[in-house]
Amino acid sequence: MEVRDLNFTYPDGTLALEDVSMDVHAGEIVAIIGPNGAGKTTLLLHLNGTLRGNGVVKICGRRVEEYDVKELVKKVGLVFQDPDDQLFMPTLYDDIAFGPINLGLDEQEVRRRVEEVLSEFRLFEYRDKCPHHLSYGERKKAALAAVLAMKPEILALDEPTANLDPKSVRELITAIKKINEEGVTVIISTHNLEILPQIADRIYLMNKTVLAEGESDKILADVSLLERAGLL
Amino acid sequence: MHQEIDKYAHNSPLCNLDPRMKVISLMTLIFSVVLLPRLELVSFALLFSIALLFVSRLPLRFALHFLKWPFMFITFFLLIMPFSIEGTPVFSVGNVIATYEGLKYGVLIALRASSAVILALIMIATTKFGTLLKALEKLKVPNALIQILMFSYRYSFTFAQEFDRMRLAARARGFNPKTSMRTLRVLGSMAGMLFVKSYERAERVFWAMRARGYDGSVRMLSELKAGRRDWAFACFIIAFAALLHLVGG
Ligand SMILES: Nc1ncnc2c1ncn2[C@@H]1O[C@H](COP(=O)(O)OP(=O)(O)OP(=O)(O)O)[C@@H](O)[C@H]1O
Ligand SMILES: [Mg+2]
Repeated sequence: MEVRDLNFTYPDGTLALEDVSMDVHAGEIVAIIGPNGAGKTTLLLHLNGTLRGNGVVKICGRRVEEYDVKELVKKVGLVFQDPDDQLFMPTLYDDIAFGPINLGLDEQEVRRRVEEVLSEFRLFEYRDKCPHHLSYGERKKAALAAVLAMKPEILALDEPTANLDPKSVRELITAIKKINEEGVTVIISTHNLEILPQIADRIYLMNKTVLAEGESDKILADVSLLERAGLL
Repeated sequence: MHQEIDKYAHNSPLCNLDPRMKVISLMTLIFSVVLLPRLELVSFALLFSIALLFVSRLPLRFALHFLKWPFMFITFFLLIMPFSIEGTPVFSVGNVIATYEGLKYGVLIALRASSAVILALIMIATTKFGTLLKALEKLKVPNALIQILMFSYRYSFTFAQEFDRMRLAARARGFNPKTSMRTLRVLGSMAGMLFVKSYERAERVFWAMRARGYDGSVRMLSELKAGRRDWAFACFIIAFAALLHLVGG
């Protein structure tokens, strides 16, 4: 994934991204950190073509505009910050099946994938529940499972640890690492600094624009940098 | 907090019936009832609906909770109707006259409507919502309508929660609703806020759907099958619907 000089202004005039450039190589886990309103969500929404700003966003060497919508969706899986935005079907099973069905897979393959992620995330017992009856943490897991069932090459997670208890955070980290070992490139936006050393190969620090880039330890050790970015 | 419509969708004898059969047969019966011309037959149909409600074993309190709004509307209608049709005068209130024809017509409509809403409740409350949608999909109901139902169901809970949160937040800051202009203003701005929030939510939900390959229609897997019991139920209900008209015709 490659982003070059990306600028984006919301219709109401809010400047959200200013000359953002970023590279993520295949197989990496990269974290994007920054204070509230830094534009992390806005940036992730550019990766699958949901928002279109001025600048270049390339996935696997091709600009996102050149992709057909379904092709792009197969490449980039985006897990939204609020699971309520994502889970909309009357049962969890059907919700997870939604993506794979849209990819045009046959019924058997859809069921196989749904059941695989359900057991992977220990959600099997909730398969017939409606999403609004699940706890927030369970919904968060379900939203991730629903995207993984589509087997994307790049997984972008928006604040995956927000509002999760410590155990769920640990489980999530393990799950993300496992996914990464299977060859999926992972991009995580977060302001949970504690998890970063365990998970991120590299960090981009941003606030509208990229302020710093480097290995986790280096960025996290630079307290004055984090303070300047408004994160501490 | 609100009662949930599919709270009893798993412990009614009717819940295991194939939803397609249930929808088709009960809809047939509803149409048959609302078209019935004679009072005796409509009363009989209402009794049948009530009997079916007992068979369905939906708790009465639960049923009344959902039926109270339509019943209020029906009562209101029953009060207005006698005064709005011309015919033989029966009594008068002030200088508006109630007629025998109006009274009869009002009762007829009220009984038809009561029967229809009871049957509709049975159909909806003994079926899980997702299953109901799958049945509608299989019955070739337009996908747009299915999606509307799906989103109303899913997001009514989220909006109710959002509204509760706003109300609590307002109360935590010392707002207590009275009958005053200020209360109205605060409630008005809360409603406005809720509207904006829903609009923004709708946009994000759409983005999230497109991120999973949404192309305008929502397809579902289903494993519906109709067995002998399902056919028997459907035939019984449809036969009853037909019988009402044969006797009446
Ligand atoms: N739909 C919108 N319309 C107008 N402005 C918006 C919209 N969404 C976000 N913004 C603004 O754009 C800026 C960046 O928002 P964004 O949601 O990308 O930040 P973020 O880094 O994800 O923040 P957080 O950590 O709080 O999730 C903010 O100033 C925000 O107010
Ligand atoms: Mg965000």
